[in-house]
Amino acid sequence: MTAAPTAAAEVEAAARDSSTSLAVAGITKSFGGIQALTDASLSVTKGTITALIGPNGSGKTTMFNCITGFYQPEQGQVYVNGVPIVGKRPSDIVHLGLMRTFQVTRIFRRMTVLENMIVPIRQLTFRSLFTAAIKGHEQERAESLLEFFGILKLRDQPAGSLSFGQQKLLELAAALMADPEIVMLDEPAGGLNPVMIEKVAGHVKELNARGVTFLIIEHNMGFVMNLCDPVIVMHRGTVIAQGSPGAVRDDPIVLDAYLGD
Amino acid sequence: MNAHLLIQAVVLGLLAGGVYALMASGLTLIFGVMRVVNVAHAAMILTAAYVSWVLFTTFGLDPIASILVVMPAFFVGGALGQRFVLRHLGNRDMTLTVLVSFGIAIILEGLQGSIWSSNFQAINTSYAQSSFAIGDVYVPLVRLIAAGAALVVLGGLFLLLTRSNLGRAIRATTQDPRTAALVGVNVEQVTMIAFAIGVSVAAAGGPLLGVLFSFYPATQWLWIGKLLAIVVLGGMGSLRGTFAAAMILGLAEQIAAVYLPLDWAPLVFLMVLFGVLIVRPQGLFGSVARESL
Amino acid sequence: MNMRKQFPIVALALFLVLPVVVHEGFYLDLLLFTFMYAAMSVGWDIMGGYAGYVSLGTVGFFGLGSYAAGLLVIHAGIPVFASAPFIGIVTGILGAGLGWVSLRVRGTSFVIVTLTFASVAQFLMLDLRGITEGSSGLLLPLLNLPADQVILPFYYSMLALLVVAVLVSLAIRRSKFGLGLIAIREEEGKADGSGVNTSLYKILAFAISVSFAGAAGAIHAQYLNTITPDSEFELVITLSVIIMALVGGRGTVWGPVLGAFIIQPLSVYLIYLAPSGIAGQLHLVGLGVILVLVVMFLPNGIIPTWDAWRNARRRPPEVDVPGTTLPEVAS
Repeated sequence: MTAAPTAAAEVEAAARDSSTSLAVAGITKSFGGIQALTDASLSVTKGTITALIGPNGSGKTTMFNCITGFYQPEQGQVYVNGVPIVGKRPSDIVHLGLMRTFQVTRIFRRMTVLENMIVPIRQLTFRSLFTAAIKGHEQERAESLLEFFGILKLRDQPAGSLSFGQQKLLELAAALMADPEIVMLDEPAGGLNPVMIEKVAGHVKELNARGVTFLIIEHNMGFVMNLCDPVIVMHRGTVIAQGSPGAVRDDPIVLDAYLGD
Repeated sequence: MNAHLLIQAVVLGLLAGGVYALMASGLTLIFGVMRVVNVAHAAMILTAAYVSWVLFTTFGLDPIASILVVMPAFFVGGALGQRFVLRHLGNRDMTLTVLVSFGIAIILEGLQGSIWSSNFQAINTSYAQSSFAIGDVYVPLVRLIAAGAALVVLGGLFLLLTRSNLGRAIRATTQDPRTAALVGVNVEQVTMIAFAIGVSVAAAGGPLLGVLFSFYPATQWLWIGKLLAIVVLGGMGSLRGTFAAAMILGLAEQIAAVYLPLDWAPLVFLMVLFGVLIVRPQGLFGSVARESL
Repeated sequence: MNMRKQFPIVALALFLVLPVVVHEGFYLDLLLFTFMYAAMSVGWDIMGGYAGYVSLGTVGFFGLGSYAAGLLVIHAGIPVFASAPFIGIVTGILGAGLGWVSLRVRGTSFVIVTLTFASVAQFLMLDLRGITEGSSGLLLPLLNLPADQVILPFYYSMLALLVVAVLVSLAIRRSKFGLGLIAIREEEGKADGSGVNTSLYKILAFAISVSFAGAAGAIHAQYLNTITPDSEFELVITLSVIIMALVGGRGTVWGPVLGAFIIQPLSVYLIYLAPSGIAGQLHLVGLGVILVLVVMFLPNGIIPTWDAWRNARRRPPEVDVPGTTLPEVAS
C-alpha cells in the first residue's frame, strides 16, 4: 500500500531534518483563472532517486518551477536542505545546491559545448568573475564530465549543432558542473531511443551512488520503475500518492487518476 | 489652495488625458501584439501633425477633419512597413526591431526638419483662442473639441477590439500567439493589421497635438517619454490600463502645473515612470513582471 | 590569426606617432572624434552586444559627464584631464542606479528607462538655469597652450580612453563575467537557472558600459569650450555609437572600433556634402537610413559575418561519437 500523501504540516516539521533534501509544504499556484497547484506537498529524502509522475496537466513542471524559483507560489513554502527559498531568485537557489534541467532541452546554442559547461561553475569571489573564463582545473573537470557522458569529442562544437540526444546529455553534464547535491530532471528520457535511455539511467545510477539526490519527472514508466524509489504521484495540482514503485503501480487511486476523467 | 484653480486643473487634466489616451493607445496595442516598444511612435504622431498642418495652411482643411485623411493613409503606410520591413526581422530578436524603430524615428525627425524646418509650428485654427465658461471654469473650445475627437476614435477602437472578430483575434494574439495560432488565428496577418491600426490611431493624435501644442521635430523625444510613462503605468498591452493611466497622468500634470513652475510638468511623467518601474514593474493593469522563462 | 593580434598594436603605435608628422587640425580632429566614438561604442557593446540589452541613453551620460566636467573647471579649477576618470566612475555609479530601476525585471523596461533618461538629463541641464546657465550654456576657460599644440592633449586623452575601453572589453570578454553576460543574451532564464545572478551581472555591465560615455563627455566639454544642452545631448551621438557597434560587429571587442573608423569619416563627409541649413537634418536621415539598412541586411556586423564566412569554407570533419549516432526516435 502507498502511504497517505504527506500533509503540509508534517512536511514543515521534517523540512529541516538533515535527511530531507527537499521539502515542499502546501504550495498553491494559479495563472489567471487556472489553478495549477493546490496545497501540494512532498518531500525528497537525501540520497534517493525520487520520481514525480502524473497525467498531463497534473502540475509537475509547475511544481519544478516553484521549487527552482522560476515561479513564486502564492501560498506555502519550499525548503532546500532546510533553507526556505520562496522569493529567492533561481541563481540563489542554484547556489544552495539545487540544479535542474528543462523539459524542452535548454542549452546555449551558439556557445561551444565546453563553454556551456563553464557557465554553471559556482563563482564564489568577486575576483573570480574577472579572471580567465576557463581555468585549468575547471577545464579538466568539465572534460571529465563530458567524457563520463561520452560527448567529449564534441567539446569545441557549437552546442546547437549537436543532435537531440547529445544536447540532452550536455544539459545533464552542465547541470553537474555546479557540483549540486540535488538534481531535478524534467523528462530526461523524452524523445530518446531505448539505447540512450539506458545510458541516461546508468549515469543517474552512478551519480546517485556518488551521493547526488535526484527528483525526476518522467512519463516513461519503464524508466521510472527500474530506477526510482520512492515514486510521488500528482493529479490536478496536488499530490495523491507516494510510495515504492510497485505499491504505486497497484494503487487504485493512482490508476483512477490516469484512467479516469 | 484655491479651489477654483484646482477645479480648472481637473477639467483641463481630463481633457488632456483624453488626447493622451488616444496617442498612447496605439503604442500599447503595438506592444501587445509585437512585444516591441515602438520608439518611433511619437515621430509618427508628429508626422501626422505636420501633414495636418500642411493641409491646413494649403487647403484650409480643419485639422479635426484631417483626421479622416491621415488615419487611412497611415494605416496603409503602417501595414506596408510591417509587411516589408518589420516582419522581415521576425521574432528572433526584439532588440533588432527596437533598433529599426529607433532608426525610423530618426529618419522621420530628419525629414520633418529638412522639409519644414526645425522652428516651432502650431496649427492655429479660427477657434484656437475661444473658450467658454462654466461657472468659474474656463473651457478652451479647442481642448474640448480635441478631447471629443479623441474619445470618438478611442470609442471606435474599443468597439473594434471588443465586438469584432478581428478584435477578438487581436486580443488572442496579444495574450498568447501560440494558442491563438492553434485556434485558427492567422497570427502574421493579425499582427500586421494590429500594427497598422496602432499607427493609424497614432496618426489621429497628430492633428490634435498640432492644435493643442506647438511642436518641432525634436519634441518627439519629450512626447515619447510621456507616452511611455502612460503605457508603463497602465500596463503594457492593456488598453483599459492605458486609458486610466492617461487620465491619471493628465490630471497629475495639470495639478502639478498649479504648484510647480510650468517647465517642470514633464518631470511629473518621468517620476511616475521611474516610480512604477521600481515598485510595480507590470504597471496598474499588467500581469507579467517576469517574462517567459 | 597573428595578423589579428599584431594589427591593433601597429595601429596604436602609428596613432601615437602621427601628430608628429601630421599637423593639420582637420585630420587630428577627425581622429580624436573617431577615438571618442570608438571608445563609447566599445562601452555600449558591453551591454548591447555581450548582454544583448540595447541602451538608447548613451548621450544622457555623455552630456552629464560634460556638464560635470565643465562645472568642475569653472567652479573648482579642476582640469578635465584630471577629473575625467572620476567622472567616468561616478557615471558608472549613476548607471548602476539606473540599472537597478530597470534591469531587475526582464524585457522592455531597460529600453524605456534609458531613452527617457537621456531626455530627462537634457531637460535638467536646460532647466536648472541657476547652475547650468540653461540654453546659453557654459563657457570654459581656454587651455593655456600654443595654437598648434592645443589639440594634442585631446587627441591623446581620447586615444587613451579608447585603449582603456578596449582593454576592459577584452578582459570582460575572456572572463567568466563575460561568459555570463553572453549566457544572459542567449538564454536569460537558463542563465539564471545555471547560477548566474542575472540582475547583478546586468547592472554591473551597464555601469561599466556607460562610464566611458561620461569620461568622453568630460573631455569633450573642454574641447568645445562652450557647451549647451543642445550640443552635449545631441541624439546623433547615441545614434552614431549604436550604428558603429552594429556595423563593425555587435558582441565583439573590435567590431565597434572598426565601425567607428568606417562611420565617423562617412558621417563627417555626409555633413560636408549636404546643403547647409538642413545639413544637420539630412545627416539624421542619412544615419537613420544606415541604421535601418544595417539591421535589416547585416545585423551581425562585419567582423562576425566575415568570420562566419571564413569558417564555412573550412568545415570541420564530421564527429562520430559512439552510442549517439543511432536514430533518435521517441519510444
